[in-house]
Amino acid sequence: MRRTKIAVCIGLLAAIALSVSVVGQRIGEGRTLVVGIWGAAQEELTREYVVKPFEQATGARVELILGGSTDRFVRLYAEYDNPTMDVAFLAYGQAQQALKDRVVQGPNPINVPEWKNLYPQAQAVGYGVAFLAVGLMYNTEYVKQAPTSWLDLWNPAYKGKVAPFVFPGTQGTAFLVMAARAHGGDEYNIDAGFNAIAQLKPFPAVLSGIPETNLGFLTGDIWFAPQIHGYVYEFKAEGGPVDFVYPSEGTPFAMNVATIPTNAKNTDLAEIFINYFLSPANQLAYANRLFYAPTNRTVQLPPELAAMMPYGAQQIAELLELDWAHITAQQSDWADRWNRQILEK
Amino acid sequence: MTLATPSFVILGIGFLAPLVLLFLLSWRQSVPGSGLILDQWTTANYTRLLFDAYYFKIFWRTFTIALYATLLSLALGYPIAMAIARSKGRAKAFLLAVVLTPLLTNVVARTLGLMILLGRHGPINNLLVQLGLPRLTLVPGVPGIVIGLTQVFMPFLILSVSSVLENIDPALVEAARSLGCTRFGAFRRVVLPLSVPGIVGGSLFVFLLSFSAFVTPQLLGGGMVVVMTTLIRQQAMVLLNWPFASAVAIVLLLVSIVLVGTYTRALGGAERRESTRVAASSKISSWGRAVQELRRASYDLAASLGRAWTRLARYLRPMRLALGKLRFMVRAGGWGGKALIIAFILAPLPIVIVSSFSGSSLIMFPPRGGFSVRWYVGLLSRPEYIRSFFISLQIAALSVLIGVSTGTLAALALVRYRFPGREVLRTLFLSPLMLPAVLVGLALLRLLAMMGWTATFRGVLIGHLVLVTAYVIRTVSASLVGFDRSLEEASRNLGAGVFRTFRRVTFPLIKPGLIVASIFAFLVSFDETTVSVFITGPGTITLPVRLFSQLEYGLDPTVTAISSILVVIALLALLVADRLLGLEKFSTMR
Amino acid sequence: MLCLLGPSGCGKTTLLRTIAGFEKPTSGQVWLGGKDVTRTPPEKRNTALVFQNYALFPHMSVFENVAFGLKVRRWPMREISSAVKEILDLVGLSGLERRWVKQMSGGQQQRVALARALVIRPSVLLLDEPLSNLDAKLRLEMRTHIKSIQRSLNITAVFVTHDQEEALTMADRIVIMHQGRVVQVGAPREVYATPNCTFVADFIGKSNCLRGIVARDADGPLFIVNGGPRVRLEGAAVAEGEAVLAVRPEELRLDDRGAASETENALPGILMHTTYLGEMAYHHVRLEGGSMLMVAEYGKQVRERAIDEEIVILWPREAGTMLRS
Repeated sequence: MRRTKIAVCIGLLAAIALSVSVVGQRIGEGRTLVVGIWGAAQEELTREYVVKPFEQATGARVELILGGSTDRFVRLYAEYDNPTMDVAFLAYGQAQQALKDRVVQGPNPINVPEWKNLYPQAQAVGYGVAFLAVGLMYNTEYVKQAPTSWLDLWNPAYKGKVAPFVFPGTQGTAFLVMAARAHGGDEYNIDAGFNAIAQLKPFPAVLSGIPETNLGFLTGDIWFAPQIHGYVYEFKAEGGPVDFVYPSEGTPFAMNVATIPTNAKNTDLAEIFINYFLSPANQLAYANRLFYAPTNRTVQLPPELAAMMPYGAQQIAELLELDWAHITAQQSDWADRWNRQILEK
Repeated sequence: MTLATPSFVILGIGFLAPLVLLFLLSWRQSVPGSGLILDQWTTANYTRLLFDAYYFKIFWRTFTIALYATLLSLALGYPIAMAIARSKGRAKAFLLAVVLTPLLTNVVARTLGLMILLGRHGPINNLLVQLGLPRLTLVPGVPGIVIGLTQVFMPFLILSVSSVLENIDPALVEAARSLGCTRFGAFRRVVLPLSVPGIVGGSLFVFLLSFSAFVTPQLLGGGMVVVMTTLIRQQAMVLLNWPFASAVAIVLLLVSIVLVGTYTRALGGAERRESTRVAASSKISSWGRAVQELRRASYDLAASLGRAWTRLARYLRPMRLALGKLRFMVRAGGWGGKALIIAFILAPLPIVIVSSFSGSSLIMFPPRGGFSVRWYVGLLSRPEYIRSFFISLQIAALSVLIGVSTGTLAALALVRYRFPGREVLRTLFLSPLMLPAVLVGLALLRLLAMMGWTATFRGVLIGHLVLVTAYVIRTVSASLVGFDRSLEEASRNLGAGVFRTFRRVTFPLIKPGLIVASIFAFLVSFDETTVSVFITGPGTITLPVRLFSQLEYGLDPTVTAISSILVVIALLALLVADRLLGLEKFSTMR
Repeated sequence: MLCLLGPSGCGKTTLLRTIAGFEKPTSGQVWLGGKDVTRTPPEKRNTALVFQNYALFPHMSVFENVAFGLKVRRWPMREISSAVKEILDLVGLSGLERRWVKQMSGGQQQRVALARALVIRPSVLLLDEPLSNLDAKLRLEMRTHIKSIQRSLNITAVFVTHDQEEALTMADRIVIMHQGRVVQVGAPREVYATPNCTFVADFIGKSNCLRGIVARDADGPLFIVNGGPRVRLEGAAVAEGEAVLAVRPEELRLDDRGAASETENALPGILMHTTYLGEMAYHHVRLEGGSMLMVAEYGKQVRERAIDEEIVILWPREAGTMLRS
C-alpha cells in the first residue's frame, strides 16, 4: 500500500497549502492595517495602548511589522506606487527626507485631532510621537566620576571602552556629528568627527541593538556609548549599572515619527491609528515605561518622571537641532567613509 | 523540451529576467541620499569599484575569509570524512546524522548558537578565563565569521571527501602495506593522493559558499566587518544606492561564475571520464583530456610533496623516534580530536535550546535567572511569529508541490532528450543554487518592485520556487541517470502505454529520488533566509526572516525559543528521513 | 608453488590474508622463513600480495606502481629504475613504463600487479585468485607464464583459486580446504588419484560417488550399491559396513560387445542422456535401484547411442576409491 502512503503525503501537503490559505483569508477578512514599528517594549506598549482600543473601535485588524526604521525607510521608496505598510514609524532625519521627497503624506489635522495638541517641533515633521535626547550612557560601576562632556570619551584612561553605534542610525549619526562638534567641526565639516572617532579604536563593539548594548555594559566590556535617554533609564530601572548625562556641548534632539505613505491603501484607518498613538494615554504609558518624552502638550508628568526626559517646551528647545537634511544628503558618502576609516583596522 | 517549459517560466521570471534587470541597473546613476535613479547611462559604478583600493580591500577580505574557512573546513572535516568512510552500520549512521543535522537546521538558528558560543562572555571565553588566559574577541569579527562559515559549510566538504574516500578500494591500502608501507605511509602515498578530487571539489564548493555567504558574516560580523555581500546589502537597502549595489553584485556574479565553472568542470569532468573510459580513448573530449591532465598534475604535485617530505624526514631522522611517539599520541588523541570536531559541529544547537529556557532577558551561556519557559509563552502572545510560521509552512508546501512536479518534468527532459542548448539549459536551471543568494534576492526584488509584486505571496513563492526547482532537478536527474531504460522498453514491449509505463515502471523506480527531493525541497524553502530577506515584506515575512531581522536588531531571547523550535523541526525531519529511506541517500545530496 | 584450493567461502582467502598479516589469527601462529610473524604488521613481513582485482594505484603510472615497494624501502633512484626495468622485461611489459594503469588491458594490469609484487623480492609471493578476472584464453596463457616466472625467480608462492584445473596445472602442492578446514594436502597427482574424502573426490575432477555397504562373500570383498547392483573390488581391504565408493567417469567403459572380461564388473543400466563435448562425451546411466553413474568416452570411441536403452557398464575391479561415508 505504498501508493496510498504517497497519496496521503501529497494530500497532506496540499491540505497544508490550502488550509493555511483559508486561515490567511480569515485574517484578511474585513480590513487589515499594516504598521511598521520597532520591536521589544515598543511593540508591547503599542499593542496594549494603541492596537487594542483601535481594533475595538474600528473592527479592523492590525498587523505589526517589527524592525529597524532603515528597513521601513527603504521600503517606502521601493514601494512608492504600491506600499505594503499603512503606517511606518521613522527616525527624525528619515521622516524629514521622506516628507521632502513626498514619499509620505503631510499631517492631516482634521482626521488626526490630537495633532493640534503637539509641540511645534513634532508638528513640523507630520506626526512626531516621541522626543528623544541622544546623550551619553556610561557605566556607573567602572566610571566613578560622571562625564560632563563628549570630550570625556577621549580620556586615555577609557581607551578601548567606548563603543560607537553603527552608522547610519540615530545614535551613530548623532555621535559622529557631536564628535565633530567637540573637536572643532560640525555637520558641514565632518572630518574632525571621523578623525576623533578613529582615535577611540579599538572599540569593544560597534553597537546596533539595545540588548547587546546592555549586555556590554553589564559585563563591563563597555563603559561609554552614545545612547537615547529612554533606553538608558529603562535599563537603569531594571538594575543595570548605567546612567545618562546631557553633555555640555549639547545633546542632539531626535524624534520618532509616524508617517503614512503617499499611496497608502488605508489612509483613513492609518489616521485613526496615529490619533490613538498620539493620545495622552499612550504617550503617558511610553513615558512611564520607556521614558520617551511625550510630544503631546496635554500630557502631565509627575516631577520625578519628568526629570528623566526632555519634558516641556523649554527643555525640548534646549536640545541641539542637527541639520538632518544636510546629513541625509551626505549619508551615502559618510557611510563609505565610516566603512573605510572607522571599521577598517 | 516542452516538459521543461513550466520550470523555465519559473526560472525566467524568478532568475533570468531579474539578472538582466540588475545588469542594466548597474550602468545607471543614482541620486545620493534618495532612492531615485537617473535615466542615463554611466560607467561610474564600475570605475568606482575597480579603481578604489578600498573595494579591492573588501574583495580581498572576502576572499581571505572564504579561504580560511575552506582550509579550516578541510583540516577539521577530513578526519570526520575518513571516519565516515571507514565506519559501518550504526556508527556510520550516527556520523552521517551528525554531519547532516547542521545542513538541515536553519542557518540563522545555528548562527545564533555560534554568537552565544563565541561571544566575549560565551562558554569558550569563560573557559579561557578559567585557564588564566585573556579573553578573545571572536565575535563580532573576522575570526568569528571564519569559524561560523566553517561550522555552516564544513558538512559539504565532509560529504564530498567521504564519498570519494568510500570509493577507494581498501585493497589499495593493503597492497601498499604488503609492499612495505606503514599505516601512515599508506595514507600519505595512496589514500591522500586518491582523495584529491574530493578535496578539490569539496573545497571549491565550501569556498564558493563562503565567498557568497550573507547571513553568517552579517550576524557574526556585528556590523564591523564589511564583505562583498554585506556591502551589497548596505548599498541597496540602507543607502538606497541601487546602481552601485548592482555593480558590486555583478562583480560577485562574475567571480562566482568562474568558481562554479571550475567546480562543475572538475566534477563533471571526472564523471564523464568514468563513463567514457569504456568508449574508445579517442572519443574523450579535449576537455576531458584537460581534466585528466589536471588531475595527473595534481597527483604529480602530491607525489612531489611526498618526495619533499621523504627528503625532509631523512634529515630529521634523529627526530623520528620522537615523531613515532608523537604519532602514537596523535592516534590516541585521534578519537578525542574527532569527538571535539563533532562537538563543534553540533554545539550551536544545544546551546540555543538551553539558552531558550533562560529566565533572564540577556542572552548568556550558561543562562542566568534560572529555568523558565517565559520566552515560549511569550511567543504565543506574538501573533506575528505564529503567522510567519504558517506563511513559511504554506510557502514550503506549495514550493514542494509545484517545484517537485515541474522540476521532475524538466529533469526528464534534460536527461532523456537531446536537443540543442541542453547543456546550457541545464546549467541555467542549476545556477540559482550556485550563484550568491544575495544576488538572486537583490535582482528579484527589483523585478518584483517593477511588477508591483513586492512583498506579495506570489513574489516570495517565485523566489522559493527558483531555488526549489533547481534542487529537484538535480536530485531527480541523479536518480534518472542511474535508471536502466531497458526497463521502460520492456514495459512498452509488454504492451503498456507511455503513461502506464511511467506510472507502473518509471515512477516507482525514481520514487526514492522524488521523496529525497521533496524533503529537501521542503527544508530548503522552509529555511530559506537570504533571498527572502530581500523579497518578503509585511504580510509575507517568513519565520527565518523574522528571526534574522530580530537578531540583526539585537539578541532578544525570543529568538532562542523560535530557533529551538526550528532545530527540533529539522531533527524530526531528519528522523523521518532516516526511517523512510536511510541517511545514506541524503549524503549524496549537495 | 603451493595452491590453496576450495569452493568460495571455504576460508582460503582468509588464510592467505592471515599470511600477509591483514587478518589476525584467534589462535595459532604464522611462521615465515623460520620466524614467528604472528604479531608482525603486514609491512614488516616482506610478503607480496597480488590482489584479485590487482589493486593497482590508479594515480600512478606503471613505473610508479612497480617502483612503489622499492621507494618505500628507500632504494636509490638508479637502482629502482634498473630493478623495475628488469622485472617489466620479465613480465613482458617493457616500454610501457609511462602508461597510466587505467589505460591497460586486464592481462597487462595483471602483469603489472605481478611485477609490483615480484620486484621487492618477497620471501613469499601471495596470489589471490589472480586469474579470475581474465578471459578464458588469457587465463591459460597466464598460467604457464606465472609458473615460469616463479620458477625462474625461484620464489615461494602461495596461490589461491577455486578452479581445480588451475590448481592441478600450476601447483607443486595442493591444499584443499572445505568449510574453514584443510581436508587434504598433497601433490596434484596424489590428490587426484587418491582423494581422502567424498568432498575432495567430487571437487577435484568429476567423480561418481555411490553409497552402499561393503560386504564380503566367498570370492572376496564386495560393494553393494544401495538398491542392489554389486561391484566386486580388488585392492586395499576395507572394513565392512556403510561406505562410499568413488569412481572417475574415465575409469569406466560402456560395453559394446556385451562381454565383460574376468577383471571387470558388468553393471546393467539405462542410458538417460548424453552430454556431448566434442572431443569427449559423458553418458549418464541409471543403475538398477536408481543410482546414477557417469561414464566418459573419448575421441573416436564417442558414439551416438539411443536414449532410454539398456546398456552395460564395464567397471575394472581395481578402479574406484573407497571412502568413509
